[in-house]
Amino acid sequence: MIRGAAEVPEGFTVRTEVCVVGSGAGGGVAAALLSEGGREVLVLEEGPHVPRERMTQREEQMYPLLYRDGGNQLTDDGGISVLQGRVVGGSTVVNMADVVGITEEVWAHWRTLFGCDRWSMDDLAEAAADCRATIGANHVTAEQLNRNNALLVRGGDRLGMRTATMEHNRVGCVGSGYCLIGCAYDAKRSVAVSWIPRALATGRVMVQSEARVDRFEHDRGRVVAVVGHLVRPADGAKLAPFRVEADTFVLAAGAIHSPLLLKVSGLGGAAVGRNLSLQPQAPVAALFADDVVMFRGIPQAGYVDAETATAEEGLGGFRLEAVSATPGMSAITTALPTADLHRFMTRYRQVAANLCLVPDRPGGTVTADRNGRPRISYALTPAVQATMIDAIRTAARCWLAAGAEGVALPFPGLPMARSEADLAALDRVSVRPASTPMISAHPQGTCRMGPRAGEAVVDTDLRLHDAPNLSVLDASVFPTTASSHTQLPVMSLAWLGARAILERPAR
Amino acid sequence: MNGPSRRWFLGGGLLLVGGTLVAHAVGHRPMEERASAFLGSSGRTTLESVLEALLPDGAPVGEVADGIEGFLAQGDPIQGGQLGLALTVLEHTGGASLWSFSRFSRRTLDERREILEGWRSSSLQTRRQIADAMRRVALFSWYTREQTWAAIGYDGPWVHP
Repeated sequence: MIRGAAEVPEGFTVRTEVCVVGSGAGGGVAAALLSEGGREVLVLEEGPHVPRERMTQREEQMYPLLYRDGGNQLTDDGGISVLQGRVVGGSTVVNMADVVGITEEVWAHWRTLFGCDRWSMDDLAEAAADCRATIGANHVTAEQLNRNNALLVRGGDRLGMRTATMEHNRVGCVGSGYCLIGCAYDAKRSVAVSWIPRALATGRVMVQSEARVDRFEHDRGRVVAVVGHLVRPADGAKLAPFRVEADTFVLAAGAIHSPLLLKVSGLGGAAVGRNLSLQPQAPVAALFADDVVMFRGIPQAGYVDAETATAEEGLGGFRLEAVSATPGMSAITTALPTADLHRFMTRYRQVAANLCLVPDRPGGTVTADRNGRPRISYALTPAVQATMIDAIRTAARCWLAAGAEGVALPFPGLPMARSEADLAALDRVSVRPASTPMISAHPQGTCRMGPRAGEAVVDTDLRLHDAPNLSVLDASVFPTTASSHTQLPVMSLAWLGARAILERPAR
Repeated sequence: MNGPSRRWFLGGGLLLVGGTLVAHAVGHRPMEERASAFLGSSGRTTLESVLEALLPDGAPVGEVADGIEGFLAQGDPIQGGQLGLALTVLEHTGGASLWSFSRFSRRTLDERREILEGWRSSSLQTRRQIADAMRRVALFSWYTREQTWAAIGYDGPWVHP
């Protein structure tokens, strides 16, 4: 059963075996596995339950409804828009449905440098296989590439770069192109239409939406309860309070809000909120002479791969992925001078676009501001800036190689680049906060896992070092960037963490 | 937008807020102010002067501003308050130069365009943040209007609940 705030106007106080905070890629998997293992589970989700009938494909309606802060969650310098779903199903409802696992090299990096040796690569593969099956993962075929994706791949091929098509979790996609604002067809197998139904089928799960957790109560090294209040989704207004007592708690509120909750609860130790990776992404747009219609078809299906992965360094390099954007999002992420931008938008059908994804190193922090909201402090290191500019230059070269008339570079003041010679302008720019439009869809690392308390927040079973009946099962446990897309890595770790919970007695 | 942080102040916020107070003390009242439920009449005037500068010529800035105010009134009050603060800072420092304290909304259209474009590349982080916020609000509000879609070749949502 999924119920909203209106169904419990007086609030509630309950006791259950397991309380899961968050219903996204981590919480949904945990709810399913723990209930299948015989546990009674209550899932608390701050956002609303939005079935496909309510997905209107309108940006101005869907961003406020489905996203944290309506899509306006920013780093404290205004430099990066940190996009997170706030809805039953979490960010899997609004992601691009990319399925990319943790590589052997990254797994080895975590094992050797961070002591995360609890699970083998075979364990990870077993987890990933069940996750892939549950979300219907499959490979995009070359025939399914829309023109935007095909042009990026063509450009990459002409430059002699590695190119490929993505694995995704769409089944029966109709190609409307609105993945970022919710699938009105349930073709995207988000957690809301995969893991949550699997959990509900056990008859042992209740999902309470529109329920914001304020803090954990704990006593002598055990978490005893969560307290919070129901919220009105439109403006976040506080409604009635609730309190949930449980034997076991799972925290899966994502890499921004999980550390925030631990911090305000006095849990997690010195490392909580540190080691934030944002994996920043910058957009590049190109104009072609004829229609591209990037906004229809599978938005993100082909990519140019310049990523590196080693056991010593983890993930590095960059990746260029085609992307679609609806008009409002296109306009605010294209950095052309405003007058030029309006002329550019009159040719919206001829616009192609991609994102430059740069795996970064942990270095940011999440703390609480005076309103109790997260303050996300993050600065691009010189190395990441250099890689980002390299990625942007490569993307522009790909578009020009594919036949673009010009490329809009993500730096104010730069005119359209119409030839490779024009890209020399990139030698003189820097990536500055609130100047280059950047997003993060993959925040990670603020409740790092590791064997030593103080350096890590959770142990290698993903249990809090200072309160082991609380497990953190989301992207915050990754010691470094897990992958170019976090959906499958989060699900896989949550799967392993939930199994570890089941291996212990219920009480 | 997050609340003003220590870094925000170090980046120039304090200077700009100080400038705001000076401008309040010596500046002129705007010539025309419209009633506004959310932003206040001064904020509304600034918002319209921003929209006029950032939207295509002839855009119905009053309608777009109404939509923004309606959205703010229903949404998160902290975000709305932050936009209000950004408008205040822009109004009282955006038009100021070494020689004059003219309010932003009293500048000519070309001057306002130049100010907003210049702030996008400013060395002061606060100016970049404000210019970015204005651009986001204006452009997103404009291009999510159905009336703009035909001109850009966007055929709109496939589902119509």
